Formats: sequence, structure tokens, C-alpha cells
Amino acid sequence: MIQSPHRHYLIAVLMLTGLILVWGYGIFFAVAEKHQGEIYRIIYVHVPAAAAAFTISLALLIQGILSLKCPQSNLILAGKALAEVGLLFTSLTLVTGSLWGRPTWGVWWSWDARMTTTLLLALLYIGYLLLWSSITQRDTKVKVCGILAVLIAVDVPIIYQSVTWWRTLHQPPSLFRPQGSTMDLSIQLTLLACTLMVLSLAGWLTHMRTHILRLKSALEQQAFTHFR
Amino acid sequence: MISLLRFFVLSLMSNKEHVLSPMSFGLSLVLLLAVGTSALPEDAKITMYPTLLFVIGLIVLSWMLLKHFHTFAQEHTLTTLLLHPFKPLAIALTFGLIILTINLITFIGLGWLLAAMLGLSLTPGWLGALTACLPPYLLGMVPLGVLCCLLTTITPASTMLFPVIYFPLATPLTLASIEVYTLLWQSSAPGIEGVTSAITGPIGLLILLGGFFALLSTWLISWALTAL
Repeated sequence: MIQSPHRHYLIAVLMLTGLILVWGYGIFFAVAEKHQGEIYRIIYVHVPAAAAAFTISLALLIQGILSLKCPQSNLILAGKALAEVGLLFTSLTLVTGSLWGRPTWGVWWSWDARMTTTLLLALLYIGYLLLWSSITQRDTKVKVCGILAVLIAVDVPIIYQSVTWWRTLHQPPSLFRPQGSTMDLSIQLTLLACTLMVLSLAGWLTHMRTHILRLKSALEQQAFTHFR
Repeated sequence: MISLLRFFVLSLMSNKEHVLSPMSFGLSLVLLLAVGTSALPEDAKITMYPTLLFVIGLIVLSWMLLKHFHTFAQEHTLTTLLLHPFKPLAIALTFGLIILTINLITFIGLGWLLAAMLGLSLTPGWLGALTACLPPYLLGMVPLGVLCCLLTTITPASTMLFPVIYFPLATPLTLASIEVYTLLWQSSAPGIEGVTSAITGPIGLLILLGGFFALLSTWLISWALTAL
């Protein structure tokens, strides 16, 4: 069950190097945007973080459905790990969005539909974690958290569509539009590289956290058997 | 179905405080807001009115649901009801239907009282506008509330966990309702005739969200009942 720590160190070093390379290129070498100038470079952190937060909610949905279908599987620990990493990336999205909003909109925060619905996603991840910790019975936890995972995933299309459904300060979609993207190709490619790197980081963090939770659970089980 | 309706109505009659205490709390909020905003100009009150009404309505609805589920859990009524020859889903839906009806009446009553307390000269269209946007709103909100109650009732901290889960999930639907109500109400004001084309989009969104949450929650309620 216990894997070699060297493999984890190697993956961590590779992840860190990859992130330094893509973010370094985005911050120092990528072309500047003609309207916003240099400040737009925060896009290379903000958009990948949002993509990771949304992808994690999709993964949580799949985990939830699988848990409901096969309650005996050991996926419940992955659910907790996904919610923790999802909360981390949603918070990063909110912080970078706020940092970007100050110079472009003139405010750190606005009760804009996109920002509010993203904040709701963070609150839902917190709700998931609170619910997870407050239920002691395993079968009940699997079912209740599985159902909440489905509900959390519903918030993602609402966040995505919020800029078209409600009046908002946030710009409308500029990448996935029927008329084609409004972004320069080099910006698109850099953004894609950053997104792939951040998604890999999210996947690795989830894997590591699940591994730690499994070890913790096994240790608790051992201690319980030993003292009985 | 009639026997279930009879059961729930009798249950409500014997636990009148479950309906009356949230209603009186709503009244207290109305009075507090009326006093607190008395110095504001009428324009500001008119702008605030729909949001205040829906927030008070949401609090009353949440409290009403929680009170019922607490009693059901304490008296083991839910587990007893699951042995009823009717399917558990029918039980949950019948209960939801009753809560929906009570809230429809409460909302309209609170709407009128809040307007009167704020000193607003309401146009004849306000009641029509409120009645038009309440059915899709409550159709989504009540099953979602029943579902969130089912998910949290089994936890030791249900009173704390319920709003953490329910309010973020309910926000998109509440925002859509506030927008529709504001537009419908303003369009019925003197000088603007009929429903303008700008309202059809928000109405469609409200019906879409209300229907979607109703269907999704109903489907998930059947899973949640198995966790009890």
C-alpha cells in the first residue's frame, strides 16, 4: 500500500518545473494584449485555476454517481480529496479574479453574477466537506455526499452561462463562441499549455490527498483492531 | 394520496407553531426593515423591495422546512412513513406540495405587508407579477429544500448545515425570480404598457431553472430516502 516516496518527489519536481516554465513564458515572454497591456497576464493563472475548479466538480459528479451505483467501492475518500482540491482552485480563481478586477474594473469585488456564482461554488465545496465530516456512518456518507456532488456539478453550467443570463461586469465568453475565439492564437496556445499544466497539478494533488486519506484510514483501522 | 394529504394536514394542525413561528419571524423582519429603511427615498425602497421580499421568503421557507423535518426525525415519523404502502417519493412530494401551498400564501401576504410597511404606492400589477413568478420559483425551491433537509437531517448539526447547502443552491433560482418580479412589476407601472420583449428571456430562464431543479431534486429525493 505504501508507495516509494522517491516517485512522489520526482512527480513533484516535474510538476513544479512544468509550472515554472509555462507561467514564466506567460508572464515574461508571451505577447502583450493590446487593450489591457501587461495586466492581462494574470489570465494564465486565473483561467487555468477556473478550468481546474470546474473539471474537479465534473470529477466529483462522476465520483458521486459511481458511489451511488456501487456504495461498497472505496471512492468516498476520493470525494473528500476532490472537494478539498476543488475548494483550493475555486479560491485561487476568486483571488486572481479580484486582483484582475481592481485595475480593469476599478473594484476588488463586485456582486456580479459570474463572481457570485463562483463564490457559491466555493461555499458548496465547503458544505460538502462539512457534510462529509459530520456523518459517521459510511453507507449514509456515501449516499448523502454522492447526492451533494450531483448538486454541486449543477452550479458549473450556471457559472458558465451567468455572463449571458444576467447583467454582469465580467466579459462574455471569448474562447468558446459560435463566431470563433476573439483571442490571438499565441495567447490561446500559451493559455492551453498553462491549463493543461494546472489540470495535471490538480489531478496529482487529488491523487496525493486520496493516498494520504487512505493511509490515515488504514492506520485508524489498524489502531482500532489493535486496541479492541 | 388523499390519506397522505390528510396525514400531513393533521400533522400541521397539531404542530401549528411550525408554520406560525416562521411566519411571525418573517413579520418581525418586515417590521425591522421598514423601520431601518424609513429614511430612504421611495426610489431606493422600490429597487430594494423585490430582493428584500425574496430573501425574507427564503428564510421563512427554510425555517418551515427545517422545523418539520426536525420533528419528523425526532418522532421517527419519516422512518415510519417509509413503511407506508405508498412509495416514499410520493410521501416526499405530497409533503412538498403542502409546503409549496403554504409558502405561496405566505409570500403574497408578506409581499403586501412589506410594501405597505415600506410605504410604497403599489401599482395593481404587483400582485399579478408576484403570482406569475412564484409558481416556477417555488416549484424548484420546495423539492430542493426537501432534498437538502433529507441530506442534513441525519447529521448532528443539521440546523447549521442546512443553510450552508441550501442557500448557495437556491441563489441562482432566487436571482432569476427577483429579476422577473422586478421587470414584471415595473412593466405594470403606469406609462409602460404590457409585458415588454425584454422580459421573455428572464421568464424563460426562471421556468427553465425552476423545472430543472424540480426534476433533479425529485430524482435525487428517491436516492436520499434510501440513506435514512
